[in-house]
Amino acid sequence: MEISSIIANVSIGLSTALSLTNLFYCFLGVFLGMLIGVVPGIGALVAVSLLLPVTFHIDATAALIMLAGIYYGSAYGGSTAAILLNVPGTPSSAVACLDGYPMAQQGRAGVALLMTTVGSFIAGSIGILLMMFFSPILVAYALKFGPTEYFSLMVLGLVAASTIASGSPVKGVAMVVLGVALGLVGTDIYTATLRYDFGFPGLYDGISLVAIAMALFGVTEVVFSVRSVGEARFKGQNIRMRDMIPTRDDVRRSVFPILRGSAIGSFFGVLPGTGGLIASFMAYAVEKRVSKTPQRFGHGAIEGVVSPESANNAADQTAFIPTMTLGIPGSVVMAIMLSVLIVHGLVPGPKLMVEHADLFWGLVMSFWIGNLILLVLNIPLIGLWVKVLAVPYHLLYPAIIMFVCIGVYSVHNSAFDVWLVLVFSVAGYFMRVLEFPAAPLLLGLVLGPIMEEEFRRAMILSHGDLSTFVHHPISGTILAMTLALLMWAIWSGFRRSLQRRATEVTAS
Amino acid sequence: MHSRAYRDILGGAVLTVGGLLYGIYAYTHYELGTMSAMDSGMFPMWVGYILAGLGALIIVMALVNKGEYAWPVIEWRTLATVLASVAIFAFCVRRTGVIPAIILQVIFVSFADNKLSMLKKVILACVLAFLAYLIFKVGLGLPIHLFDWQF
Repeated sequence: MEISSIIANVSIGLSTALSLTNLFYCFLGVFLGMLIGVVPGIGALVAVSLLLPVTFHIDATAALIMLAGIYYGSAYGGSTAAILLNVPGTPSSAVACLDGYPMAQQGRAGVALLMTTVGSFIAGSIGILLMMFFSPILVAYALKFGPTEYFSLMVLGLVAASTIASGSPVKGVAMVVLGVALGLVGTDIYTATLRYDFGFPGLYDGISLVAIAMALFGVTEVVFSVRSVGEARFKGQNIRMRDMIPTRDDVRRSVFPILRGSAIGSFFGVLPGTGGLIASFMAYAVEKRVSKTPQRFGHGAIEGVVSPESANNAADQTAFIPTMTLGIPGSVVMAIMLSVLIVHGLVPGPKLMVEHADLFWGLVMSFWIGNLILLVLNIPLIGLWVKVLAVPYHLLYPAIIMFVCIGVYSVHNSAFDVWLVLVFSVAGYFMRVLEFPAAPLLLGLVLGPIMEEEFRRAMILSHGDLSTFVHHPISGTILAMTLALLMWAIWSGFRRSLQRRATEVTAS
Repeated sequence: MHSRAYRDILGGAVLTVGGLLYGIYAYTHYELGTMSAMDSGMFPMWVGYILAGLGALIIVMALVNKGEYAWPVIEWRTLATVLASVAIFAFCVRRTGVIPAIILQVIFVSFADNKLSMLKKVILACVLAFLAYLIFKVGLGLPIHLFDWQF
């Protein structure tokens, strides 16, 4: 790609991202992200769901900038809680506890915090650079895709997202299909037929995504956490600026782990279904493997803190690449980003970057601004985060439920949507009790209507011939990959249960 | 402890029945069209049947796999309290306006673990209601009714 077009894109992006409104929402997003990252029991997903109603009332670019800020900001906050308290503020920071907390016990919390913040920033930057250079290439390629390729790509995305990380691939896929089924409720755009509305006007435009997200990730989470979230106790350790200065040895030990973590994170971030959590575990495992002194891991090895934390930050940035260029979300948070686009009348897919360059590049440039804010603010605000950690859950959960109710109500001034929250909270609770994952359901819900549209278009083009999906070379390849992935997931699940049975036999 | 994953069998059964009902409903209520010109019923019908198939597959796998499974613990009291508070909000919001609905909802939901005294519950409710007013009415300028009386 020529330098001139990069400069043009950057300048479009900067002029959008630097507008006063967008700067405000960027700051708000990363600040809230750090905050909820620190607080155990509320992750990026809960926060993004809770703020979804707000995005209905602001401009699409500002909405995306804010939600994205929450998402990548939470990775910074998550490591703070992991290092200081041995409590992962977010799941992807769980690995940072292994060596971060021992470092804190040795009085080296300041060094750990500084190095992870710097590592996170470097990793985030690498992720953003990859997005800036690869998105245009990917878009140029994807613009040639027809409905056949799109449908197959969505199938691959959904299958990957629902099988890789989940315990049971069949349950994951079933929940995707359930999500698609729920997504088809409402007016059929081709024929204007009302489907599954059962006479409720509140269902004419489909089941409110906000209501379902709030129910599955807000209310269900609260019901599960009220009795289980203990109070995090921070045993006072004042962190002074002086304590943060890393030794030359710390810096030398961190450089390559940060770069390796960034590479691992960037890779897993792009893949659907993996993301920051798997990237951070993988980065830790790699560091332990390449280290000359693996016995130091678990006792405060700085490599074991900076590498996973770099990995999850890189992954959080590169996760936007497939979402924004192809319209294929790899995780629930990304699916929610897509839904924000759809709500504002924008069609996700490769045309988005071409037709709404200001939105796309504005978002990308806001990542730079957000990461800079995080780099500068994360450490000075540690005193504040420690106080935030002292806020007990019994003050927090009434606030969450309150935000769920008023938030859902505010979208369409509709009490019906609040009743929907009630219905889906019951469903969500029992899904969780029965160990059926909720995340794939939301992915299916967002992509369901788009999939139907592409499928019907592909069928019109092929005169009703289903084999078109196999005969188109790109589509056929994608479907073959999907099938291989599915087989692998089922086989590895089967092998796990065999191994469990084998250990039971030897145990008895 | 029991030897089969009854959670999967139960969940699979719900999906199978639900999927079948969904598919049959599409078949009986909406036009199917042909494959080259699909009407509103075709895609949902197949989605329903695929869902039913996956549900059945989950049941079969649960029957084949034997192991040690514990019964899940269901927090009925917490669940009922939280859901009732949402219901209170949904019922009140049109009738009393947003502020009273929030106050009632917050007071009620904080009974889920009952760690706050009544006075503190009321204070928390008022603080949160004020916060909601600031965010949604002042900040976003939404046309929501703060107080109402429509019984």
